Amino acid sequence: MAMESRQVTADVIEANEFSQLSARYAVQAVPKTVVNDRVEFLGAMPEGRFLLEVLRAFPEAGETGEAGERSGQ
Amino acid sequence: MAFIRPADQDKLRARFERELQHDVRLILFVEPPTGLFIPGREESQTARPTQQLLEEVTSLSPKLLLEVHDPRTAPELAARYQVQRTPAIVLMPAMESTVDGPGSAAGPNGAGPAGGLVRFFGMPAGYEFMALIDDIVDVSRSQTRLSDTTREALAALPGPVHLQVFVTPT
Repeated sequence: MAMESRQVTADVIEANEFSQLSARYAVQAVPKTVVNDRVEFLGAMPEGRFLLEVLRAFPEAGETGEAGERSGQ
Repeated sequence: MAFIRPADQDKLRARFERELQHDVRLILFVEPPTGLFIPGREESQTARPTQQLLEEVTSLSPKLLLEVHDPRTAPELAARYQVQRTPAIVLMPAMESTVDGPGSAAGPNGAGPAGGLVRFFGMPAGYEFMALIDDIVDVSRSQTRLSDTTREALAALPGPVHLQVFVTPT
């Protein structure tokens, strides 16, 4: 995705090696994806579904989705 | 001892030969351990093995260019790629910036003609290693395997997206 848009920064993070960062995002299972610190989801996903999750980071742009947002950690 | 077994080296060499098009820069940021404890800082124990792994990978194709930097001595470069922790690997097409200095006309440096940053934090071992190899190939070919629908949506993103994918080397 980062290759298709300058707007996207894609990081792959080795969770064990960066335990503080993992703790900050409450990573208990992998793969765990966090989008803009707002949306997070577990596991691999089909491309279309992954895109929807990314777009949920922009609720003001018309995408709905409160359920998966981080619950005030 | 090599991380990549000879048989796997042969496979990778053949795949690179077959699939790589443009040169790819692998910009590695590592901080060799100082042995000092700094509160709030996670000192990396994987600086040297990560560098060795990338040296092995880049030795398998003349199209792969490894650059190694220490953010403590190259803070501008680390800032340019927003590297706050190491080891960090940034993948870039070599054609993107011929002059390695801040403020290049190309603006933010990305992983493709229209691309943002692709970064790996931590040693890319296990499953993550194949993700690194796949990404190297994609960057080299300046193309992804995404659908047109996804591409269009990405081109029309309403703002910056920071994806953080946490993985373990299983």
